[in-house]
Order: sequence, then structure tokens, then C-alpha cells
Amino acid sequence: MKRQPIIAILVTLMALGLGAIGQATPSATIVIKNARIVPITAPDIERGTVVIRNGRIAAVGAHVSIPGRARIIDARGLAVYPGMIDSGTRLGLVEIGAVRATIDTTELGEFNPHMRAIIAIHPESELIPVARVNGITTVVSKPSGGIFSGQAALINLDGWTWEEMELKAPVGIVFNYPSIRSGRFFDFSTFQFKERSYQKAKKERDEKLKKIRKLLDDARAYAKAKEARATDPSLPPLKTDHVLEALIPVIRGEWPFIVEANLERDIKSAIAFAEEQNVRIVLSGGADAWKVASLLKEKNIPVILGPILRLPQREDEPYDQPFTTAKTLYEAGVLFAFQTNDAANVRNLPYHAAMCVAYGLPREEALKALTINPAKIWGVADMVGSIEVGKLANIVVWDGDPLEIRSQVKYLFIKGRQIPLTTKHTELYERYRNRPE
Amino acid sequence: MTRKRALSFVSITCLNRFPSRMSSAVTWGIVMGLILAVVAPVAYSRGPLIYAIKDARIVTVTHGVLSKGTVVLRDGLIEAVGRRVEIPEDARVIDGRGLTVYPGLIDAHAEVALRLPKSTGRQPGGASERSPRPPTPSKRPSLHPDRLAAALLQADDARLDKFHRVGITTALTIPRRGIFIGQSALINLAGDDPARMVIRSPVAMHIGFDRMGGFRTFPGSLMGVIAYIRQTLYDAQHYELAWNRYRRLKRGVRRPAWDKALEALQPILKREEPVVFIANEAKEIRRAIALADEFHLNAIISGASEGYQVAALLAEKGVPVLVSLNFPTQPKGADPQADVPLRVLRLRARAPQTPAALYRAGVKFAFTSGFMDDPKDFLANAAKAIEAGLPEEEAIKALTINAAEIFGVDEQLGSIEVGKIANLVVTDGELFDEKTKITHLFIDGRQIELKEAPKKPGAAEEQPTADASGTWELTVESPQGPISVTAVLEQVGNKITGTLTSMFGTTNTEGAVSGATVRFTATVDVQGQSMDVEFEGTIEGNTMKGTVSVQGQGEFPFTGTRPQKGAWL
Amino acid sequence: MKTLHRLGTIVVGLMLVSLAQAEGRSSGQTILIRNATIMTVTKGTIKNGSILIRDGKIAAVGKRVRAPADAQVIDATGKYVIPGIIDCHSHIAVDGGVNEGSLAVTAMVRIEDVLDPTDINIYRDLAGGVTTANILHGSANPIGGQNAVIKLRWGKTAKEMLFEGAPPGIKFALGENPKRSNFSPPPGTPRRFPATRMGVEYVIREALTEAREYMRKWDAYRQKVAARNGDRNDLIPPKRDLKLEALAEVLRGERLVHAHCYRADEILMLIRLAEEFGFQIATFQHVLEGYKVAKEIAAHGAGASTFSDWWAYKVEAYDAIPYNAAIMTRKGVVVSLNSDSAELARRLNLEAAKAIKYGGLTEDEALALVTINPAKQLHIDDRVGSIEVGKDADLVIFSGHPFSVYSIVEKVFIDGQIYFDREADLARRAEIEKEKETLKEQLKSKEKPKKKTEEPSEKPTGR
Repeated sequence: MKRQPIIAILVTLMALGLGAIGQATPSATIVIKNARIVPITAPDIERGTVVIRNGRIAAVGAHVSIPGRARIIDARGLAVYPGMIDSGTRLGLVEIGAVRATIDTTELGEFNPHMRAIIAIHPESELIPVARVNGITTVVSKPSGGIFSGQAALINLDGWTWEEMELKAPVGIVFNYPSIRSGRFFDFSTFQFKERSYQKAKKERDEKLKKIRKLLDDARAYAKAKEARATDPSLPPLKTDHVLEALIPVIRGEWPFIVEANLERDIKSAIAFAEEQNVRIVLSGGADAWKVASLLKEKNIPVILGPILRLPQREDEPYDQPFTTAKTLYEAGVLFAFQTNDAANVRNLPYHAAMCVAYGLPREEALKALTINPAKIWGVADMVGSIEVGKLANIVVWDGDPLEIRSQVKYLFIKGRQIPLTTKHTELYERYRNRPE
Repeated sequence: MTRKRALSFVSITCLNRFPSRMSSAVTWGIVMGLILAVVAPVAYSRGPLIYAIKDARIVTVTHGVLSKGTVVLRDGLIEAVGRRVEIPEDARVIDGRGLTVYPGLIDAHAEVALRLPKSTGRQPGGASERSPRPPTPSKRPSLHPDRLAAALLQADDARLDKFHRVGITTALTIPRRGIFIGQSALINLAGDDPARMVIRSPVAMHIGFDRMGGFRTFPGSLMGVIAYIRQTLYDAQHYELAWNRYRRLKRGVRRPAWDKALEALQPILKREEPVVFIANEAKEIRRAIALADEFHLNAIISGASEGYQVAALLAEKGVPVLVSLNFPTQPKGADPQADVPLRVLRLRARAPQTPAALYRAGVKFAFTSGFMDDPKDFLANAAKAIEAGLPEEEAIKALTINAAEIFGVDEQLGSIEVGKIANLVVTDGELFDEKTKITHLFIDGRQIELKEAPKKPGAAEEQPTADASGTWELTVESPQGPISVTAVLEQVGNKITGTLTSMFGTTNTEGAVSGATVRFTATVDVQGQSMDVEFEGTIEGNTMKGTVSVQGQGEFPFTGTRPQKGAWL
Repeated sequence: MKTLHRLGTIVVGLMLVSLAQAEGRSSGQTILIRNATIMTVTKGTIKNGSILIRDGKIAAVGKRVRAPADAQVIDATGKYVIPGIIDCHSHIAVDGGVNEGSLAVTAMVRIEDVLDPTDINIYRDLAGGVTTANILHGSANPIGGQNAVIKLRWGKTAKEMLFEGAPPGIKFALGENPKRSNFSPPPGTPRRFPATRMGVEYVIREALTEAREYMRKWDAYRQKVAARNGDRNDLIPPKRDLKLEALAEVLRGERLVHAHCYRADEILMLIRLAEEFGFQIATFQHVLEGYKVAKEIAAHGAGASTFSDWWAYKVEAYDAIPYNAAIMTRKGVVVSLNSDSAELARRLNLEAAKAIKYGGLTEDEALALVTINPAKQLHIDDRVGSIEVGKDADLVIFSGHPFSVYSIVEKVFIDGQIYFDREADLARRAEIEKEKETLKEQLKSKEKPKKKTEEPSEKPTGR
């Protein structure tokens, strides 16, 4: 533990150094020409130009006039893609998984709808550059634990402060849908295996749901009382309740619940619950989503699928089930995006999607689920998710297919700022590969 | 030592005069000497032990079936059996018309009529703070090869009734859990004196694969358990070498240390005593056989639910099997929507095929109740094995003579032959017919009174004469000392609902009142184990007393008072 | 089968010459995989090549391979064949815990005793092209238990899965896990020794010292027996100690040490300790800071079995870099990439591709990370790890290039037998569901509702 202050200092120094390397200010004009352009929302342009100005995409096309005084990048043989979006991570909230001091995902207690991930994002996390240099420019960073874990934030992976990183926060409240967990389990408080019967587990689950319903009822009453005071100032002042306050946008349908559920039973229950409570939900995890694809479509519920690189849920499930779920959702017409549910390994997001392509998902659908789909789900399709004029210049220039492991990122822009491709890893690499013999 | 449910025809009051903490020897002395006839744990008929069952169908097992014959029992032994047997003048005569006589059934592996030692399971083994060395010999965990089940017997196990109800007269008994568990005894399931129950002891060494406690105590893993068994057996081999050398040389050699555990292991290494391994799945059976082969042990497999997969191996090795009739089923409390894997479904569907598979492969096997708390499905499950292809006469053998042969008591038990122990089951039909009732049961020539299974709570037939409502302070006499339980009960009609609060937390309870008898059950979480407990007591004014049966743990007496009747209401 | 005798032709390929063995031990099936891109690992890549499998071995490899008339022909046009993947660090197929964590030294426990041949993860990993796995004890103690090298012969017994003749090994562990930095002891129990890296070294040193003394005792006994011309009268051997026996084998170089480690300092520590005791570490496992001491590892001659890109999950993994495999390879270390995970094991081919992305290894070097290199590390490279005549026919057919994310495993052979076939798997799915339904109905009708009976040990669902 003695190392930590030293690490912190190193981290800070290195991060400061990195910041200084930033080659272009957002105000400069950058032209990427002779590139294959994959706008996602429009047909690919075999050889075209993208103009970045003031942090945004100013022009894109096969025949774009190149402005003067621009920095020109000749991208012959390269391909331009929008930055990828990981729709569920813990980036900025966790540094080292095993060190409690570096974990800010999980507040005490069951109901924390008022916890805001955005304000706890650590901009200097070493994990952030590692993720972005593989083409991930935007992520949802979400709290975890309890029932209502807190408010998830959509952030760009560049910025001096969390305010500068914020793209949209919150994008929803993480809701760990209570599951019926029966059978043998390990109780860490007593260090023993315990057995819980289905009946008991169901009762516990039902009690939790009851509590949740009551909380939402309370929030409605609170909102009503608040509205009444807005129109009638003579009413006595209402004591502020931050928990209920945070739930008002949910009951008004402004924010979704990001419902974490994997089992068919829980997904169905969550959908029914959302209908009953008249709230909007985004399903997250969704390992069993393939079993309820038509219901998800019918109820118009978007799914944040992932991680894909996981084992099947059940012994007899096909060995490739986690890889084919995306295809099933696509064929049912469900809007879905991908997540790694990770922090240190967010860089591998494209390979989660790629595995779905190997097992039947059309490649262009996988790309959409990494870009425009999440932009739509999180309500930022006007800002990110494709290469279109007016959108933020979150742009990645690849030497190949972003889904292929061997492809390398050649240039990276977030909000039009060119990001150096160095990380803690490249620096250690350079240092130690050159260790004298 | 005084845990005993009140029986309708005996008084328990004498017993209650003796302090419950009295040493067992003293208690036993008094019980045996003075009130033996009064406090009979098992209900016997009294008087001379001479019976003749005449004109009955007799399944002798070893000498065919007599369609109409007579069996004479005298002083605990079978005196005569045959078509034309003279009925002694001094005999009580049972008209056997319409009845069938079988040898008493043997449960080839059970944990019954035992005072369980306190620590069959977890024990400090020696994960040491200071030293990286393994546990010292004095701390060897779960190493009880010297423990004799015969020395742990208790005659007044209330569960005996449950065994009697399905015709079990005899059982191989041993604590269930542990690693080197001890040596089993074959006992008759009735007797006033534990010493008189024993037919043979020791019968076999029992080795289990129960882990001690995760990261706390060696061995905390299955591979640790196997390594531990292996090392211990090597230790025992070396112990014998060292003592032999000492006995030979006598002078000039340091005397080896005497060790009761290593001493007790010698008979199995010399193949003078078999070793029973609990193993159900095929992989577990293979593991046990491999271990037995490594040390040239005489192995017996107990359990064998997946035995159908390894019948050929068992036949090749000549390993007898004690097949559990506690076939795997969906556990109570299982998630009804959980996806049960094909592997498990197959095991459940095929386990009843194991006996037939073993029979076809030529493996000697006997049946066990497989540690069912109440072996009421014993015969019904044997019938399933018959349905799955086992010839009926083989099923009967597996319940009688096979076990006797495996345990080396076939001269005394397992068939209806002159001179054998008078253990008999008399039925009104075929043994495996579900409509058949057991009409008489003889153990050691004494007729055992068969008691009906207690009714389930809520099904009380008598009108309540007592009101159980109120807050009760109950004290349960557990082997670990008294446990306080607060029972808050509310009675509506004959139904009871309420809560139980104890050191294990608070749980809901429900039950019923019948006459002045109150029964209520709950599921208690005891150190991570979910256990069903059932209180059965009699209310007299503001006192209640009776027994509480704890799933898998036996029955314990309790007493209680109701300081403020109805205060809770 | 008789036609095997007629096969005695020397097949000359452009890139390699292979001799199809003529003497027909006429057991086993003869299979010809033809028209594939064959990545042999050790002998380059053959386009439009064929592999002849006979008696479970690779009988011929090349551009033109003549096969007997009765050979089963598998047309692999457009497909790739690589050697079966070898996972040098796995914990699948273990019953009753992968850690005997109660004591600091548990060299006496053996994974071999508790292999679970019914673990579905065997099949799942097989479906990812893994044919051999090194099943290791966990890392809870400085000296853990004995590992087992298995072939993923799904459907066989535990004993039949063991890799015949693979040298025995043992797990050591350094750093945070054995000192339990990230693990609070259960309430009411004292902490187990050791709690520092200093203590870890001491525990290993103490155990090895004890083992050395144990060896001396036995040597003395054997000398006495020899001096008496084998007359053992009055002599008894020292007591066998399974823990020290295993460690004595380590000291004699007969048992491979697979040492879990992270930081450069502890790697260097164990190298020096092993050198002091006169043995060689077979593999450093994880070895995430191996790149910092690559030349010391290379000089010692140990292998390194690492992750492609896992990092930051604990302090000692914070300096992990995805270039680790590449740097160590370039500095002369025999490197493998392992899974340590039933999940990751299904895509070790893609993990190998990351060593191209991070550090620029060649295709052959990258593929070696999951084939011949782990085979070398486990001392089984005479049998597996490359596509060469005489080696076990452990092969994987991929639909495309094994480093492409779009390729999938189609068939996996072990000893020339097909253990995984995607077509067959797809076809079987409906059958499994049907059988389950039938069994459920059957059980429902048979089991009248009754009170609880005890379940024999069965694994929970969902594995």
C-alpha cells in the first residue's frame, strides 16, 4: 500500500505529460483525405475526405473542397470510422479492481438513484487512454451494486475535467432487477456455503419488488406535491428528499432505468414491471434476450448486450449461445448495442461485436451496434455515432477493419482534438524493449 | 441421554427425575437396572418370547418359498420352519393365513441409533498462523478410524419407528460425515441395551470425502481430502513396519509412539476388514476404487446412484455395492424454472436402473436407505428398481441375504432358517406392492409394536382442548446445551401461526393443535444449513413440554412456559 | 485397412517432405484432410495442402499426399488447419476446489485425483480448438498442489483424459495471492502465514530445505541397504511424506515448477532461489512483468506463460502490458499465452493475434504462443504443438484464418478422432432438448410428490 502515493504521483505526471502532447486544438481545421470512409448511416465512400473544424465534422464526401490553412492527413490505404461507443463500463470509476481505494462504483445501501457517476469520473485514469487508442471514443460509465445503483454517465474519453468529458449525464439510472436466487451459494460474511430454497428466495425477491414499487409511489407523491407547490406558493415548503428527487425524471419518462437482468424470468418480469409503473427501460446484460426477442421488439425495449465473451448461462445451452444472441435480436428487429461491462478491457469492445459476426450477425449491423445504435439509445444520435456533418468529430482512422484484432489505429480524434496514441502501456513497452542487454 | 418422546403406554415421569446432565454410564446403569421394563424405547410385547406363525406363506430367501408353512421363534432364534412343523404348546400362535413372512430387512448403510459425536465434521486442523508446516499429528482432523459405532449406540433413537414401519430390522450403522469416520456396527434396531443390539462389530472401516472447511482447515478441498487419506494410510503402513521392527529387536531400538488411529487402520491394510467408501457418481466410484487399489484395500462402495455406468468395472474388481434407495430427485426448494442439465435428468431417471445393471454384471449388492431421515420410500424405491429390470427375488436378496453375506453374518441373518436370528417381517401381501401393509415385525424374536406415522401438522383430527396462543419461553435440551426459543403463537381454530426466535434468528412457523397436543414446524437457518424443525408438545395450563425433532440431528426434549398468556395479542 | 500396406509412397511437397509411414499398425481410422491451408507452426504454412491421419498420428503432411482408398476424406477447401491449441494454464474439470488453501505448502495434493470428466467446460474449450490443457492447482499458497496435463477427450473417463507420459508438475505462487493481499480471512480466523513477499520466499526456502533433508534421509537408508547387500533386516525405510516427495522431485528436476507470479522482483527472486537449490523453473505463469526481467528469465531457461492483455485487476497487474509476450519472445524466452479461464480458452487463437497487434510478432511466432511453445513448456513437444509427421493428430479446422475474428472452429481432432464437429453439434441441439423433455415427463409421472429426500452430490445448474 506504500506504493500508492508514488503511483498517484507518477500517474499525475504522466497524464500531464500526455496532455501537453496534444497536437491540435479543437479550433484548428483538419482534413483527412484519400481515405475509405465508413459513415455508418450512409453508404461507404471508397475514397473521400472528412473535414474537421471546431471539434465537429464540417464536411464529408467523395468530393469535398479542401479548405486552406488546414492540417492535411493523407489517409491513402486507411479507413475512417466513427469512434466506437461502449454502452456499459466502469471507466473512470475504477482504477485497480482489487484496491478498494480506487473503486467508486458502489455506494452503500440499496437505493441510490441520486448517486451521480459523472462527478466521480477520474479523468486521469490510466485505463482511459488504453481504451481510446483502440478506437473507443465514448462510453457509458455506470455505478453498480444495490438495487438502484445510481446515475450512469455518457462520456467522451478525453478532457481535462469530468465536465469536459461529459457528453450526456445522466443517461439513466442503473436498476439491478431483483432476481430469485435459490440454491447453494457462498456467504462471504460467514465464509460458508449456504442453501436458499426457491420459496425463500422468491419471497425475498417479491419483498424487494414491493419496496421498489413503494419507492416509486413515494416519488410520484413527492413529484405531485412539488408540482402543487410550483403552482401554489402558499403551501408549506416541502422537505427535500434527494432519493425521491432523483426518481422524478424516471417516473416522468425522461430518464430510463438501465435494467440489469440476464435471466429470461427476470427480463420478462422487468418488462411487466416497467409497463405497470409506466417507466422507460433499457435492458442491460440480456444474456437470455434471445428467448424474449419478440417481446422486446413488441415493447420496443432497446438492449445493451454484453459482455458477449462469456460462457453460456446453462450447462446444456449451445456452446456458442452468447455469440448468437445478437443475431437473434437483429432478426427480431430489436435495437441493440454492445457493452464490455469492464474497465481495464474496454479496448476489446470491437471483439465482442466481432464474435457475433463470426456467428451470424451481419458485419454492418455489428458496426451500427458499436456506433449509431447506442447513440440512438442514449439520445445523442445528433452528436455522435456516425460520420455526418455537424456531429462531434469522434473519428478513428484505421489501417484495416476495426473488428479485426490485427488492425491498428493510425489517428484518433475526440471532439476534433487529435489524441496521441500513447498510453501507459506504450510507454512501458518503449522503456523496457530498450532495456540494455 | 433422556431424550425420548412420550409414548402413550409408558410413563416418562420416572426418567425425568434424573438430571439430564448425568453421565451416560450412570444413567444407563439406573435405566437398565431399575426401570428397564417401564421405559422401553421401542414398544415390545412382553412375556415369553415364543411365537409360532402358522399357515403363512414363507419366503425363506435361501430355501425357496413355502406357500403354506409355519415358523417358530424361541428366545430370539428361529427354532423351526417348514410345511409341517409342530406348534409348541407354550407358543403364542399367530394365524398366518393371508400373510407372508420374510426375513427382517437389512438397511446396509445408515446413520441410526447413534449418539453422534460432537465433531464428526469440522475441527481445527491446523492452518497455522506462524508455521508453514502441516498440522501436527495430534491435530489430524477427522481421523477417527478407532471410533466404533458400537460404542456410540443409543437404544432410544426415536427414528427406529420409521425404520420398523418399512420392515427394516437390522442396519449397518455409522456416522455419516467425515473422512476417517470410524468402524460400523451391524445392529438389530431394537433392544433395551445397546450392547444387546450389536450383531457384529466392527464390520467395516468407513472413509468419506467430506472437506473440512475451505481455506481454514486442512483438508479444505477434495484433492486435499484424498491426499490426506493417502498420507494417513502410508503413515499406517510405516507404523506397522516400525512396531514390527521394535517387537522383533526389542533392545537397542527406540520404541515407536503408540497411535490409536494408525493402530486402528491396520486391519484394513491387511485386508482383514473392508472399507466402505461413499461414492455416487461414476467418477466418484472410480476415484474410490483407484484409492482402494493403491493400498490393496477391500473396498465396498456405498451409494452408487450412477453405478449403472460402472457396473463392469465393479464386477471386474469384485467390489460389492451398497446401493442407496434414496434415489436422486429434484431437491425440495429447488427453483422450478431452473434448467436442470441433461446430465442430472439422466441420473435421476437412470439411478433406479443401477441395481439391475449390477445384477446383470454379476456384482454383489445390498440396499441401503441412503441416509433418508425417514426411510418411508425404502420399499417403494426398491419397487422402482424392480420396475427398472431387477428380478423381484434379487431385490429381496438385496434386502436380506446379500447384505448378510457382504457383512459376513450370513450364518446368523438374512434368511429364514433354523438357528438364525429371529428377525421377521410379516406382511399382508407382496413386499413390493404399494398396498401391502406390514402386520408384524420381530426383532431378536420379540414382536415390535408398529406405530403409525404421525400426522402432518394441520391435519389434526381431534378438536383442540388447549389454546396455544401467546408468547412461550421454550428451552430445548440440545447436546450442545440448552437453547432458548421464544415462540409467539396464534391459534385460530386448530391452526397455529407465529414466529420462533432463537440464537439462529427469527423464522415463521405454522402448525396445529389436536387435543392438548400442539405441533408446529419451521425452517431454521443453522450455521448455513437450512433445517426443518418440528415441535411436538403437550400443553398443560401455561406449560408445554415435548420433543423437537431437528432434521438430520435427531430429537431433543423441550420444556416451556407461557409467562403472559396472550400478551402478544 | 489392408490397403494401408500398399501405401508406402514418399510424398514430395514444395515446402516439405514427409514420409508416410508404411508399416501399417492397422488399427484406428485413416483420415485425409485435403485442400486446406495448413499452418504447421514449425514448418511454415502450406497452401492447398493435405494431412493424412493414421492410428491417431499425423502420417503425412504436404502439398500432395497420397491416401489409401478407404481413407475418410475431409475436404477443407478454403479452410485452415492448425495444431490443437494448448492451454498452459487452466482450471477446468476440477472437482471440490482448485485450491487447497489451508496450508502454505500443499505439495501433496494432486489435481489428477479430482479430475471431473463431466465438466461441460471441457467441451466448450474443445469447441474453441483447445486439445490439451495444463490443469493447475490455484494460487492460494506459495507451494500448491500437483497439476495434471490432460487432453480434452470429451466423453472419456478422467484417467483416459490424462496426457500419457506428460512429465509431472507442481504449482508455486508468488505475490499477492499467497500473501493474501486481496483476501480477508473469514471472521474469527487468524491470518495464515505468510503475509509478505519476504514470507513467501521463506516458505518456499523452508519447504525446499526440508525436502533436501528428506532426500538425505532416503539416500542414507538406501546406502545402508546397499552396504548390506540388500539385506534389509532390521532396517526400515524412512516414513514416506507425500509433500516432501513431490518437492524432492522438484529438486531432482523430475517435476516441472509452474510458478504463478506478477512482479519483476518476485520473478527474479524465484529464479535465484531455484538456482540456489539447483533446479530450473519450467514456467512462470501470468508473469505480467516478465518483460521487465525478460533477459533474466531467458538466461535461467524458464518459459513464460502469460495473458495477452489482462491488466489492472490488482496492484501487481497494474504494470502489465499487452506487449509482454512480444518483448519476452524477442528476448529469447519461450512464451505461451494461456487462458486461466474456461471462457478465454475458447478463443486463444485470437489472443495469439493480439501479439501481432501489440509488438509485431510474425504469424508463426504468434501461433506458436498457443501451440508449440506451451508444448515445449510442458515438455510434450515431441507429441503435440505442431503439424509434423509422427506427432499426435491433434488438429483444428477453422473456417478461415485462425487470426481472423470472423473464423470459427469447425472440427477438432484429438489422436485422429473427431471430438468436436460443429455440424454434429448443431444437429444434436434439438435432440438434447427432446431428450430433456422426455426425461422430465418421465420423472414427473414417476415421482409422486413426496417429502424431501437427500440429493446425492450434484452440481448446480448453469455450469
